[in-house]
Amino acid sequence: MYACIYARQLVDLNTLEECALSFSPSYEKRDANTVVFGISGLRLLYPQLEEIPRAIRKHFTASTPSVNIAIAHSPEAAVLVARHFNGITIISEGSAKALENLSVKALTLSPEIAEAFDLWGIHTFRDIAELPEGGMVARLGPQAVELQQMASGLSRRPLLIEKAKEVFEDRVEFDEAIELLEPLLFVLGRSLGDLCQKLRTGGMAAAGIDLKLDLEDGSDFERRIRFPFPFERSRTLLKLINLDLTAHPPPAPIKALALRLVPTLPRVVQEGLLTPLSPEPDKLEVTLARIRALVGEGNLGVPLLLNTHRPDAFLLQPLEVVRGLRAPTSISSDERQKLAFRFFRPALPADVSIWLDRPQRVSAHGIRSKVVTASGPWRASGGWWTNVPWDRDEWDIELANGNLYRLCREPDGSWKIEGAYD
Amino acid sequence: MYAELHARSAFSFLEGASLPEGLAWRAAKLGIPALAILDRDSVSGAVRFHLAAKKVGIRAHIGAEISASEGYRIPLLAETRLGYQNLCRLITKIKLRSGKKGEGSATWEDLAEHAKGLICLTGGEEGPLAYGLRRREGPEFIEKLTETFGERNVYIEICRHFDREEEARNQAALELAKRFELPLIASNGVRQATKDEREIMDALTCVRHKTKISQAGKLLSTNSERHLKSADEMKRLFADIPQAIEATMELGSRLEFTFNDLGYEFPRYPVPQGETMDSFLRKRVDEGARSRYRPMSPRAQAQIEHELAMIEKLKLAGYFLIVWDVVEFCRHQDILVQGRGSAANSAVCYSLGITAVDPVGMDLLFERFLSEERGEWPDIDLDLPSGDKRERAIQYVYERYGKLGAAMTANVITYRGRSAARDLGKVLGFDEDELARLAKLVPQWGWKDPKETAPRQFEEAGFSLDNPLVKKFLELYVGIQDLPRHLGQHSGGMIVCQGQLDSVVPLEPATMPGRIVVQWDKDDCASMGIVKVDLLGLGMMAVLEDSIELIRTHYDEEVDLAHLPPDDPTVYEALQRADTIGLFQIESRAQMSSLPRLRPEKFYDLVVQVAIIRPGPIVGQMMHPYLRRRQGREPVVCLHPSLESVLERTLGVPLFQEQLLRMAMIAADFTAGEAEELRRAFGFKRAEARMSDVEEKLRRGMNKKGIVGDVQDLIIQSITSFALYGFPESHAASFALLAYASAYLKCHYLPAFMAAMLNNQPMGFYSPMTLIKDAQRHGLHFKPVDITCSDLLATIEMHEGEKWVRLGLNYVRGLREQTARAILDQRVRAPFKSIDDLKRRVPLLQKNEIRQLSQVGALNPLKQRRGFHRRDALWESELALRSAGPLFNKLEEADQGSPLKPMTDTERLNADLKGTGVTIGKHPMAYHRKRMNSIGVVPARDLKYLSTDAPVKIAGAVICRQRPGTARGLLFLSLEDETGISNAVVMPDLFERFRFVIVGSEYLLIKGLVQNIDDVVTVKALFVESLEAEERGVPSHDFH
Repeated sequence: MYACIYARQLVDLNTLEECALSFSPSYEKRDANTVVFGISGLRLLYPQLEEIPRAIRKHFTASTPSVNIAIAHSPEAAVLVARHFNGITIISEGSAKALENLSVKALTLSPEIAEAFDLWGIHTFRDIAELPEGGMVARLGPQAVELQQMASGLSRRPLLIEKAKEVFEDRVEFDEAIELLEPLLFVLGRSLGDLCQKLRTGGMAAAGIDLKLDLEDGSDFERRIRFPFPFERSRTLLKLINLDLTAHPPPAPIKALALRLVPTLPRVVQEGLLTPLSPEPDKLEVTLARIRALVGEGNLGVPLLLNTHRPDAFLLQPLEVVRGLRAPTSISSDERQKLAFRFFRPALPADVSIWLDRPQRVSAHGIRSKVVTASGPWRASGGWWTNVPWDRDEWDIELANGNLYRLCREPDGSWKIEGAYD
Repeated sequence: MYAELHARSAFSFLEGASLPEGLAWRAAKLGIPALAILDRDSVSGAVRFHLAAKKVGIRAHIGAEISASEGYRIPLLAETRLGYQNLCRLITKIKLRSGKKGEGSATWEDLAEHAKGLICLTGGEEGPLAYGLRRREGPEFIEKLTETFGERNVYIEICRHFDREEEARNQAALELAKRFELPLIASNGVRQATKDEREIMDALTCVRHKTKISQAGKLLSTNSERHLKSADEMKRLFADIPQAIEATMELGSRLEFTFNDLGYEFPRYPVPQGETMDSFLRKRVDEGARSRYRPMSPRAQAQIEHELAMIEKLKLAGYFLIVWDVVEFCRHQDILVQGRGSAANSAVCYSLGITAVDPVGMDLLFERFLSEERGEWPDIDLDLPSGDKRERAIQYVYERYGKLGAAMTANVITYRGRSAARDLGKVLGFDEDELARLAKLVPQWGWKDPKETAPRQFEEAGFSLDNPLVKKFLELYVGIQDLPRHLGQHSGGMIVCQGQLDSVVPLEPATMPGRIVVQWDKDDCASMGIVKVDLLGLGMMAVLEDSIELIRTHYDEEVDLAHLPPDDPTVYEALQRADTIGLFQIESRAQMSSLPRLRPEKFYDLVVQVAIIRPGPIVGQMMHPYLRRRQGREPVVCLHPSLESVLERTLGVPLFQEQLLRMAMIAADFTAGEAEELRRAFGFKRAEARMSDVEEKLRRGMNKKGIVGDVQDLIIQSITSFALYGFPESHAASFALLAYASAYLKCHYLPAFMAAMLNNQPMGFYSPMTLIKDAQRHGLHFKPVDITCSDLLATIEMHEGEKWVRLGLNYVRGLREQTARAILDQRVRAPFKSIDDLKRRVPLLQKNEIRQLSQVGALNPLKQRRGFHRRDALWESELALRSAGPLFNKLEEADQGSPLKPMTDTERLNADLKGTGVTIGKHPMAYHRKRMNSIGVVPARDLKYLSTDAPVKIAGAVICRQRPGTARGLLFLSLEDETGISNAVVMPDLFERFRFVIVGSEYLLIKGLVQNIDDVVTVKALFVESLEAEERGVPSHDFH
């Protein structure tokens, strides 16, 4: 015999699962509202069949949304009855009679079979049950047998039992709030050691760390660290947390910590005989984390030039280690002739005197000279569809000492020296 | 002075942001004396540019950018007429050679062959010089260009858009110009008329590259400098090269070609030796007139002579002979053909068999068709049966006059409404859901609520105008309206010019195989004085033709449409009763509500009836005065005594275009030319701006003649409302002939007419279901689709001495034509014995097809036992579809008969509607009659017995929801029940209240008040509710 619990309104699935677990170690989660489990072993505890659904019902308080509970000979029949009959329903004998008036829509039908039933005027379970099995199989294929069994309450499909997901979490509460990083790292190191061991045992690695600290002032402090490669060594993870917390120290003493590792499959790389060695991923990541701590978040990565007319528009992408040799990008003959340009970061604010719309003198930090030659303006604009449209004029200037610079005038009239031609 | 000699317009299709008119207007405003538009492989915008330039007083130079096979574009300007002809031939050659729409490129050989009379510029970054410089072959390319076009005809073009690379190219160009001693010329490589239109240009670029603006990057313009600039601005830019500016004027003075010198000649028709086109035409007219006019009256004779003299004088005999030749071809091929439009004013056209209306008998004015004084050329429209037969006539013209001698006119597809919203929405990166909501914002119904301002609409649809993208969407949406998107083909306009058409205008392949189109639309052709013939497809022509054939076969009678009894009482009785469902032009709800008031008694009444329900007369408030005068409820008073002669025939109310032209001539002293301008303004899509010019002129004219005040306003209203479309009298007469013919056939040969109607769907105002129900009420019986005897199309069968209509296999939805033909082929060989036999012999039959045939009962006649029903057929056909194998064959033997229950009446009805869209059984409302009676619903048939203001309930299947632009927000609903059709009108406020119910329900119950005026019953709705019904709804004709 099987019992099915169906919540008529959406509930936390855990509630249903907890209830099922309290009666049977093996249960099937059919969907967000439905669990089904075997109850044959419960007859010793509950000699009367009616007692079982009543006991199940007791798990739900008055505040829990209404649930339907069904007891039937097969999991399918139990699910169907629970979904379509309110309250507690027990079908101790054959289920066919109880199900006969259910609409065929209660079954999960392929569009083709649904269309055939519609054309044939088959609307209820009884209609399906009354069709000759041979005729149905000949027309609808082998799945017709299963449909008919379901419609007659005779389906014998076993439960599909789901294995619980493993979690890699730890929580430590301190007697006294910790103020320094060192003791915190000591505790973290132990937790990480245990969790990494657990990961390795399960053949997994960590794709990231979620760290939550309960602070003495009552607030929470969270850090979410994601790695470009899966790591499994606790030392590496500890180093990364150390660097992250150094760059982002919590604002108050720590009362408790909760650590969670994000599990993933470990990275398996076949090194090539002729492939030059690249740095060990974990060492590289630690190095990058150190640099990131120095230069600031968002200021480390691989520059990617953006597809726009706006000069010097680029984006920093996360670093990816590429194995193997990368062919050097060929430089076109046109480009070879061009001068190299060096950007000043940040650009130098400049005072520029103008005569007949052309720059005559320029002065900026370390630069003060007459402009010997000026070509421009070179005009570009864009982003008119955004909140920040841009528009600029550039001049290429040669100073008396022969140096070449790029001057830029912003829409507000201010001037900057953007860089120099080498 | 500076002339801009390299501009692109929006006719470069997504590569230019301004219309030619906008460019011309802006150039004039900036004081630029001459402008050249060079569109990409096209002169599509040239005519509009020429006309606009003329209006604003600048010189229009014509040219094009020609795509070369290496990928660059060569800007070419037409110096002489020969040059223009060469340009057209060159474009035609590359377009037709590629065979694909929008593709093709020229080789150096092509360029050399067509170089005479053309001036070559070296272009900007897409030009040949830039290409050469990139490949370090600049000098070689200059040599190639000078060899091809001649040293005198190559100009080194330099542009300055504040771009480093461009300037580097300019420096190289300067050196080459010096080295080869070639003139330099400045241009701004214009893409848009004004600076602001750069945003539109960028959006169009995204559409062209199918990308979003946020991802378009360097595809977009670098800056906003590619707009028309004044001479001062250009001089400042080229202060170091003043000769480049001066050269623009020098080159401009060399470009002598304009469209005033197009060199188009009227087409010639090949005549036998010893004949001239005039003599040949005269003979054909004489022959025709003798058969048409029996006996020939002196008036008719004189009219024909007058017309022939005019045709001879204007050298148009070739054109008439070409049209006659098409008509003769159709006649020999048994293709029904009839001229419409102003050609019906001509006795020559009548004699040649081109038109069917006798203009002498009807006193129609020939000068409306052809007038030397007005400089107006004839435009003959031929109606042909839609479908294959029309295509045969079109292909005949192509064959007869050669690939380069005949082509369809183009149809410029412009950004309007939803297309603009969707394209812009995609460009700005809105997702699918947002796109759908944006597209919905575009008003699609005729009437627009004045309160529905754009911001309100946007906010209601969940878009905030604070979002810059939404704001830009609105701006761009307005800016992009009317810009051309691509060139399509006109539905039937053809121009003919034996073997020389490609020297007048470039030809290119259409998307449709076998079709060639010119790059000008019909307005452009008319502006250039090019005569054309419209071969239009008309569903009713096909119906008439099919009816005649069915009558010949099943009645053994010959019906000659040209000689139908003229005043058939049965026909006029039906018209007076508004019993006109299925009839040509007079079947709509609006037509049916005016017929009992107008009560046509003779053919001319029908001409008026056809013309009166048009937006022109309705908005001009001419319809009701006419009807009242017709009923004797209002005195016949003319707008002004001077107009009596013009308006006498229509009881003092102007109804036809001709009358309005004459009114303008009499009341406002319009010259013939001005009247022509007025007439053209009626026909133009871009009518509104033109009409306001015309109105001003009319008022000035009337003031001079002392026609002022209300009378002046009335006359103006009458005339300007025709911008919204009104019929010429001759056109109405041609349509009235078809209306009469359809009424005659319906009244006297209903089975044949119905079968023909069913075979030519979709057409007209009503769905086949409504047509069938109407025919059944007229006593016609139908037989269902039957696999053992249905043909592909509906046919007539004898049943106990009566003619019944058998539905054809084409009504089975989802049954492919090839499958239906395979069924018919097999049936001819031997009748089908069973469903299994059918499936075995027609292996093409797919599952959905056999299921569909079974559920509509088409397989019932293959019964293998008594009481075989549709579900039995479904049960068996399902088995026939599966190759069961020996194991299941045995099972089936044991499985005697089907276990399925027969369909109920409702199930059968729904199966019919789902499977064929029609039912020949009871109307769905018949199943509800008892319930309807119990709640006091009045059947449609009995409404006429109720008097005005009586409260009433009506109910039925919705067959029409209309909200015409001319009805100030009123919604008209037609409900069908088993007794007929009832009409209701819903006021705007009520519609807002019940919008969801009205739009979303297939069956409605309406409570309201009766309005019974002259036996025309309309229910003014006070309350609307959805009627619950298990039956599917019937197809409804909505919001058109």
